[in-house]
Amino acid sequence: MFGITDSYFFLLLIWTMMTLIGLVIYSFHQKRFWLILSPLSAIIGSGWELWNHPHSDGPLNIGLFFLFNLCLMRLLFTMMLNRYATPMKVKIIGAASMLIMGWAYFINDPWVFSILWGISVIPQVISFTPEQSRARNIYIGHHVLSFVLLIVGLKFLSSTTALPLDLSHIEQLTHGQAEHILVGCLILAAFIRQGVFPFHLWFKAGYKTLPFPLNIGLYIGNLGFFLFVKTIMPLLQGAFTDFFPYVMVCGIVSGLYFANMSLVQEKIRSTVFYVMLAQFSILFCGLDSASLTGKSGVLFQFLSLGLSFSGLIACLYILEWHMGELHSRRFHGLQHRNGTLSIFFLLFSLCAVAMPLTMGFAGEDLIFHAVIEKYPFVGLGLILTACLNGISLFKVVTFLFRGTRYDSRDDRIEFGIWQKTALGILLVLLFGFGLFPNLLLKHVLSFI
Amino acid sequence: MSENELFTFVLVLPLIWLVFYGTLLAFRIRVGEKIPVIGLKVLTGILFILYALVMKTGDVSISFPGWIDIPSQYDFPLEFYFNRTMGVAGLGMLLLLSVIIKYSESYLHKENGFHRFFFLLSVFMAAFPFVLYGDNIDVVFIGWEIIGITSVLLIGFYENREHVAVNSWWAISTYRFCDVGLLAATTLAHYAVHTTNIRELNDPAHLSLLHPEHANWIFFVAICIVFASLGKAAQLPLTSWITRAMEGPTPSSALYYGALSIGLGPLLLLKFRGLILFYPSVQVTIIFIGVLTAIYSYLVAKTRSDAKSILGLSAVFEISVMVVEVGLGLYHWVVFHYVANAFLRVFQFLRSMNSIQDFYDNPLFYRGAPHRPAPTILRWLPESWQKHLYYRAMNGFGLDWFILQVLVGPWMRFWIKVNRFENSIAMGDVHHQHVPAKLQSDLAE
Amino acid sequence: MDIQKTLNDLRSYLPIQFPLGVFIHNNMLFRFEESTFHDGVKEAGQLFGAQLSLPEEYYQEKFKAKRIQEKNIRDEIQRWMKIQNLPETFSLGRMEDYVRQLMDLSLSIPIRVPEESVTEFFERAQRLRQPILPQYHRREKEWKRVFRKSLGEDVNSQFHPLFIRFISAYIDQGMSTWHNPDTHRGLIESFKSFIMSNDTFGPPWIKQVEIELEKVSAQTAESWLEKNITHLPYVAEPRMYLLDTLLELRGWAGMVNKFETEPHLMPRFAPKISVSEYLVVYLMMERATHDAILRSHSLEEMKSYYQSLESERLSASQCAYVLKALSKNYKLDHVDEKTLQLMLDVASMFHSHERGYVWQTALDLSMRDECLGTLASYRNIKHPFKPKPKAKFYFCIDDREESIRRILEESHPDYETHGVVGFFGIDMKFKSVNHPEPITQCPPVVNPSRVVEEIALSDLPKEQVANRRKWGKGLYGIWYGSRAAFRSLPFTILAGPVTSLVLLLRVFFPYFATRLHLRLKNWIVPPIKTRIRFNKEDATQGGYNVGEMATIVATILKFTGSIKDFPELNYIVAHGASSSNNPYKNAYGCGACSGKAGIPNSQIFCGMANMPNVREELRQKHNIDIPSSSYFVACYHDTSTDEILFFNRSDLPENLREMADQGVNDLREAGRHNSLERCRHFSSARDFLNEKITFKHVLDRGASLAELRPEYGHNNTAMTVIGRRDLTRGLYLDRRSFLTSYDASTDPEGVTLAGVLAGAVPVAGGIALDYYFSRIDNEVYGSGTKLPLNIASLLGVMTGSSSDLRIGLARQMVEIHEPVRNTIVVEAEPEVVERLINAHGRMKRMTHNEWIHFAIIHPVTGEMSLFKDGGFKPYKPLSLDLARTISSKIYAPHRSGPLPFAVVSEQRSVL
Repeated sequence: MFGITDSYFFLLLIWTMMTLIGLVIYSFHQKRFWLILSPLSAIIGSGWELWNHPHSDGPLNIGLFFLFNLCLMRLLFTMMLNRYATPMKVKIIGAASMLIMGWAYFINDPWVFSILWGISVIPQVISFTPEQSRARNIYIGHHVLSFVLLIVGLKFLSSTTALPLDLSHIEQLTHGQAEHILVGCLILAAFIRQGVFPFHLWFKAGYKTLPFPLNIGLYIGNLGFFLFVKTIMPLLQGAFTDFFPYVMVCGIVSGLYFANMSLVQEKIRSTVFYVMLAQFSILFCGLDSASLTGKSGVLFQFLSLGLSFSGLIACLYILEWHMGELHSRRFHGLQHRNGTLSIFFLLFSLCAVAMPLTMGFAGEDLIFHAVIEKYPFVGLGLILTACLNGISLFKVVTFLFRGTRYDSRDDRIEFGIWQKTALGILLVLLFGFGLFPNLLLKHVLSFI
Repeated sequence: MSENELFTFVLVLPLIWLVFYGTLLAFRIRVGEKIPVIGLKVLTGILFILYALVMKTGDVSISFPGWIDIPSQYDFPLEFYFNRTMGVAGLGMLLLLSVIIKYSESYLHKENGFHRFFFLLSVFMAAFPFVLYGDNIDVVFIGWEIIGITSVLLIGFYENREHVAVNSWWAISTYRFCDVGLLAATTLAHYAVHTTNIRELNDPAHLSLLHPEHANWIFFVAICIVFASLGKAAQLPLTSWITRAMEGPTPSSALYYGALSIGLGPLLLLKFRGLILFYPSVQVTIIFIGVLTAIYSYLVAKTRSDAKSILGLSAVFEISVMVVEVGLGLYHWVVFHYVANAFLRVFQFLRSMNSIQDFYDNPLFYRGAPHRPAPTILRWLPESWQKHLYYRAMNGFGLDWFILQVLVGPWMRFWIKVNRFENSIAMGDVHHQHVPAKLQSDLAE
Repeated sequence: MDIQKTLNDLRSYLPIQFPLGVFIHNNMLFRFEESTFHDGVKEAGQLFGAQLSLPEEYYQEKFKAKRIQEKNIRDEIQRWMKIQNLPETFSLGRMEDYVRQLMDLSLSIPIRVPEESVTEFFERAQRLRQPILPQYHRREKEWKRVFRKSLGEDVNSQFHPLFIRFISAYIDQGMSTWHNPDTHRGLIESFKSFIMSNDTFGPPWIKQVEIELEKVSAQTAESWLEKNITHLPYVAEPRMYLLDTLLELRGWAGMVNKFETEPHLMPRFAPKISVSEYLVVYLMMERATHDAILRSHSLEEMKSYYQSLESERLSASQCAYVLKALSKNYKLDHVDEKTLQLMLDVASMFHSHERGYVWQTALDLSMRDECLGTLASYRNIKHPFKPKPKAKFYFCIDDREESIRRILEESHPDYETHGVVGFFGIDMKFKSVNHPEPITQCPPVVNPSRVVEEIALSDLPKEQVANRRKWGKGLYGIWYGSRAAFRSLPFTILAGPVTSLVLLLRVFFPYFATRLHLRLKNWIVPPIKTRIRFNKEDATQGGYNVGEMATIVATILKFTGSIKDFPELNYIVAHGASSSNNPYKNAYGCGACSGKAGIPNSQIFCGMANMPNVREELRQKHNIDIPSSSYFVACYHDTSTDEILFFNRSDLPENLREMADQGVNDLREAGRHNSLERCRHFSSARDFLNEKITFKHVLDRGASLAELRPEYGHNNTAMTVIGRRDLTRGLYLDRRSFLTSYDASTDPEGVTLAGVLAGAVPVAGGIALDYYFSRIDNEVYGSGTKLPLNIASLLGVMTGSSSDLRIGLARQMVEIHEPVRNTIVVEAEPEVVERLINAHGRMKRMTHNEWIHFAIIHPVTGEMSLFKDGGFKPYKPLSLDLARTISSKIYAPHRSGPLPFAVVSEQRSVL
């Protein structure tokens, strides 16, 4: 049904049921276990599928990889945040948008895919409050444009080819003038959704106004990136190789732009988000190198960025929930009473900017080598972006945790067993795959 | 046991101790002050024996292929090569570390950062051999960056003071800015000549024959290596962070900025001597930078009046002389100079608290004793010139101003304007002061 | 506003600490002694931004270990309630019990309390008026706080590093190789030439300062201040602003003030500098930075700060959190609104700082009661008849000597020990042979009357003098040569391997290394036999005549009340300390000899006392007859390594020599056990089993480079006993009490008592208060941890690369100290003591304002009276049943921390 192979359909069904049951039971007696149930089930399902038979049907199980990543994020977020951090309404909206994106990963029928692409934005748009109308308008504007471009791209694509368009068998397209425009529209739709340089304003409007986890959930869901890997890459490799330089330029320009912007932000929250945007735009450059190293590096780095930034942003959300607005040029002095949180935050920021012996280093090393193979100067630009990101994230750690707090109120943030296990899993994954990257690399290679 | 296994043990033993000590700390097991000290002492003891055995055999090279390998396209082997010159530096490091461990045992007693200090020391011990014996630029980069991060965390050891935080940020910006050079060298070498092995890179003539079309890229690799060594060795354009780095405990300042971490610059140049000295223009730039930094640190150190910044700048003076020695090709001399300077500076740092007593014990130090005029070399200058030079040197010849106001300042101001412009589009008000709606509702109840 | 008068008034707020080479303990809040202790500490806390007490957990532990009595806590709560004028009772019971429970609760309100977690109290909390939580801002000027909060710009960090480097280089005593050429022309002239030579590549604010500088010169500094201070844009009240400016870098400002007022203290030279010039330079730099920041930032960025200025009230959920915490002790279900409001207000008023201060004062009073109780209950224990002493030992009053005196008396009951002022009454500047400059060997309060010379026995051969100069030149050569000099290249190459050996020796075998160094020095510069010429006849300059010598010897002997039946041998034991790699070395020395070792004082005193014509003078004028058979022997006790030295053995007659050796060996034996007793505080030495290793460890400690704690100095000092040794003989006082011998019977009108009080009370009170404040807030009143310290211009220490000059004691020197005020106990007539106190200015201030506890034991009847609000009131001491122990060695357990006092029973020698 909708072009999903039956084994995945069964997996998605269980996952959706688990989420709904979990939410219902949670509304009665607030036990965190019920919320964890849904992402846990998805992770076990997709993890088992990936580990055992990766070669079953080629690019289709890219969706498994993205689902695994999204649910891992969701699991860590639910474990990290305490009960009162997000009211019930926000929890439900978050679960809904996660479900929509989960299903979208496996849909091959382009029309259903584009509908899901559109719907997944609606939960965020609802939660805008009336006086944030300007931000809401920018938000809607961008996503409507991307939706339209997607429809246009897919419509023309399906009309020009004889066979019914199936997102998984896309390479057989002929090389014609009309197709150039439609592939351009597809790429633009992916760029808007993923927040590449000129089109990132919706993300900035969102993260300053929307409830925290909603907005980040949408970005981490990376439907744009998914579309790029699943449909646009085969197109570019097959018929439209002359798009590569343009995509590469977009990637490197947005990388440098975001890295520099992150140095001058006034709020800690915006600094962290700009660093995230910069690191994800490095992924685009890696994809365009179109070599095996590049693509495997990108998928490897995608998982490592997902992990390290989810840890980083979960810690940030707890701090913002406790302390209110965190100004990026004032010393908050939290190290005194929150030693463990500061150590975890430091380790995550080091992983996010590719410190050696962490997962990020192996991924970034692959990407740099792949990109430099084709365009040496773009490679040097990427290295500069990684360096600036390192400096700005360390600045965040310095201003958050250093200095003395002249406040008689108690700023000790409760760090229970749930938080410790969540961050323990994260560290084991980041440093485990960092020390022995080949373990994961073998499996990533099998997708491409 | 063959020397390959011995050498692998030399590299792997500190890592095993690091993992063991790290897990102890991670699971909050009540670790007294005895365990890290005894562990490190036993570790240095065993390493001494292993070094003696390996030094006997001379050149040993091992490689662990397939750390990251994509069949037929990209391979990242962990290659290590041990030779006697680097072995001497390794022995010096071990001797110094055993002294620092014994010194820190009672020096950091009852200090609340005790385990953090000893953990970072173990990380340094594990990462230093990567730089010394790494035969592949990537392996050197791994050790290089970890030492940089431990050095920054040790500068920011006292987290409750704000100027300590700002100074540690100075240090990491300099380190990261210069690590770009090493990372670029790795990738460019891989692109141009498809190998990042240092011994192969050290004869560029052969390489340019193999890959004639990318021959000029090798010149860029040499430039990147020189650029990378500037940051750690605090050579001229980036010397201002060294006096700010004296915030941590004295043993860590002694170990890092008196002896070992600051000496990594010339050591890196020493490892790439073949590649660098193949190009005369690179050789000239190295000598020029070394001489300029020597003069700069000589003059500024003379005007400083607190113990640790004098010692820091004297170490920079010695390092710049080493850089000149590398430029002139006196390789064995550099390693000997490196170890001798390491010991002298560590001794002076560890005794720096005794300066008042040293002066009071000196019979020539009494009220009215004549104070020291300008250095002999400058005495032939006219009086007004000497005073002008003195005040210039006190201000560090405007180096901080040059970096902050000329290089970094305009760049940051431009991006602040861009950020304000972007805020006005996305949010409507330039400084976006209002608290997000959701948080407002919570806080306003 | 008369600038001169204001500056002189502000000078007293600056720290009184001398350069570290001549460091002396004194009360850090000397200026605040005019007001009472509680007001003075609160005012200083406000002014310097300092804490008033240690964290509460410290006192709760002390309370569990019964070091704090409940009665004192209740008195303190009453006092606090009187200040806040709270009602005596309220609907749920007595207010005092409620406050007491708050202390045990030690409530700390979290920043963010979600409503769901406190639902049952939430709606009631909403109806209450939310109290304002007292905020603790850090000590800074108002406009700088606005800049920091709104623009994120830290004004001080932009110009302080350069300003500190400039001042430190200007007043440098010899640390930098290239000296400031303008030190004779004044600070402002030097600043002018600094600005002129750095205007191109200089800091951003230099252009603006240049024009301003033309109008100022060294003489017109005050007038410039007077003119400009009023119309600086950000100055509300000039006097307060000047004080804030001085206190921002109070370490450096205090040192500049010392240069201006007491230049003779400076080790090498005092440049031309004054506090007004310091202020001119500081204000100019500050003004320029202020304008530079305003140029680069827009004003409306600052408007957001003013919106969030209203003081932070507790949110309703936080009030609910407080009520929920209180509901554990009180049933709050059907309590009326007014009581809830009162309870909430009291809970928010009685926050952690107030609670800490109540705990702290309770600990202070409990210690006083324990000391007085011990002395009172020890008086009723019967003392066995004392035989005529075989030998008398005269120690310094220092509390570190208490343990060695007690051990000596335990092992040899026929010895008698006395405590006298450490400089033995000799007010001199001592010029030793191998140091060109005379050093003061008497307390800072006493100004030395003359210089006493030490000359070589045989006249010095010519090349020995040259050797001494060569040794000095060699040291300078090594110091300056090895630092960034072209000579340093060959020096590093040659000296590198040698230093590795020396480094290994100094770190792994410290004591052996110091012995080696001493032998090497003696080989190059052989020590010469010397004789001190203190007699006026044969001394070229200085020296005392017979009359003066007699008065000195008489005063000391009268202190201890020993006028007749002198034993054959009287030992005069001076003390000092040896520690290496320690900028605070002077703090451990003998306070009475301004931090130096008291060796010359004890040698001179013995020389005087052994002279026949002085004894003749004593017999006639002071009716003290010392039989010709008894002799005075000079000894020295090193409090860090417990080594004992014995001087001038050859001057003794033949028959007394081996008896003197026997006495000195007993003293050495007592010293060894003293180090055993001290080692219980050192966790690295605590669990050594046999004594040999412990003695070796203590020797190493004094000599080791890596040892931050050579000894624990005056830690846990609590009491000063001025009276007969019988009051405290046989009492285990755990090294916590200064012991001054004074026999009231020999001095009815209190003539010698005046000298004793003037010597002991300000010194003991000053030391205790110095340790008290350095322990309470080690970052403001102390100099923080020793690890990152960095010696600056041979005068003081900075933390890290550049910071304010650190004042007070380091954390490692006071970490086991129990912060209490000193309890002075005098065994004399109350009227005499009261008269003497009111005669002495400083003592009057300290006693009336209760900076020290002053108690009197009547010598005959033994009942006590305590000084309280203006006069001596009768005081009923606690009746403590003191622990009993056979010997000191067994009593001290293998753990650190203060011990209850005990009685070492019946002096049976069991050691």
